[in-house]
Amino acid sequence: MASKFLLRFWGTRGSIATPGAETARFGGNTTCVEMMVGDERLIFDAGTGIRDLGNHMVKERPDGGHASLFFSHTHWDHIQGFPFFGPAYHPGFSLHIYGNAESRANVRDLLDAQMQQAYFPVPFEALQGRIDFLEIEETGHRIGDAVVRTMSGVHPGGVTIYRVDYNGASAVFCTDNEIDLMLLAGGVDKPREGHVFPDELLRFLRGVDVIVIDCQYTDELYKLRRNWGHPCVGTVVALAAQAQIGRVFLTHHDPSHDDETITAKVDDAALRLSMLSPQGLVHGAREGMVIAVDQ
Amino acid sequence: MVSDGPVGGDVSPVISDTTVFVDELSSQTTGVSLIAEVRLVDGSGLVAPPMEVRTIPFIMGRGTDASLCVADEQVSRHHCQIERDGGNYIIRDLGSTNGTFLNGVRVLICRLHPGDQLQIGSSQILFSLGYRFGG
Repeated sequence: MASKFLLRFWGTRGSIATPGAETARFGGNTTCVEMMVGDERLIFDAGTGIRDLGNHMVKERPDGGHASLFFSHTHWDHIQGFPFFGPAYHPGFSLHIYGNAESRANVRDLLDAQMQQAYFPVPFEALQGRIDFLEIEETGHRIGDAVVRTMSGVHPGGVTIYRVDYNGASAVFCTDNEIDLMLLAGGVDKPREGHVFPDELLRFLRGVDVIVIDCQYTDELYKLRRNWGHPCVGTVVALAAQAQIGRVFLTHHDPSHDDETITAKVDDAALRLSMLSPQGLVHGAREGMVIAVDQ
Repeated sequence: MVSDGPVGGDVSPVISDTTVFVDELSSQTTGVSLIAEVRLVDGSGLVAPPMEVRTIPFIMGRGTDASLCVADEQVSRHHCQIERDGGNYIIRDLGSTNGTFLNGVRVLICRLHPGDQLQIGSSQILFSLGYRFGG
């Protein structure tokens, strides 16, 4: 049976786009993830990867269509592709845009600002697509037959984690969340104490089939970059094991990491998770990869 | 970077990720062309000779009409195929029963890179790129 819950990575890189042969396997575009749930298209973040997604959408439906665009937060690497998102310019397309809790009121202003003439030649007003800015209810938001729920994470300026449930399957988009700072005890500096996560976080993630999660740093690198807003391998693995997550896709790859380095990080994470949770799988998110969440 | 050994036959050295980006116009003018190859490793570990991906789409499956015929009961008749997208090679699952795995990840679609390992049923398929010289 064909899957009705697809997830595609259009951008997997953190911080800044990193084109080139040494990053070709995992990809150089910044964050953009697409989920197709039934007939609904949900897009998470508008990093540079959203440009190719936009081209794909216009090619697929030249007369127009609809999508919902969710922002985890509005740092550069998550909004920079929006001015190059073809459907926004197309009068046949409509977009529902959702911001994160902290910046909900000004997502429009921030998207508008990055299209001011000092930065970009085409103003926001030139967009001919129908664009509506909406809020997500804390209790959950229904889009078609999918339900989208949110939770706040830890990142400078705030960040939102999204969970999508559809027809018994579930996926979470959790980028730029320094979960190390959510720990009640333990962590990379206190290995004897393990990792004690807040119940709210574990409940939110419990049993999801797929999580797309920022894992920018190795444990060693994290010690040098604490409070930069990104977690490390040990903490991500512990969370995946305790929340009994099925498949873990590590993303927001560090711009200084080439494919070989990322592969080593992913292998390390996979080995560590296999010791904690035999049913869990860890993979590296790869630009252009399409998976079925419900298989 | 070019590795030491040839892939086999009249073909070319294996190339690494750093040489994937071939300027096709340049290839035409110089008579150097990029080719893709697959090698089948069956469930008992026997490695078949490399096979060039000539026809696109390049269908892999149990069916006798597949471009690469895989004698494996866990493989669907038309299990997955290799396509081209510009200068890239893409793997696409064709609705197989048991799935197409790329380096251990069950995928529906993904861009291929040299060194990638596909798994269908109990068989592995190794993907590589090389150059052919002389047009």
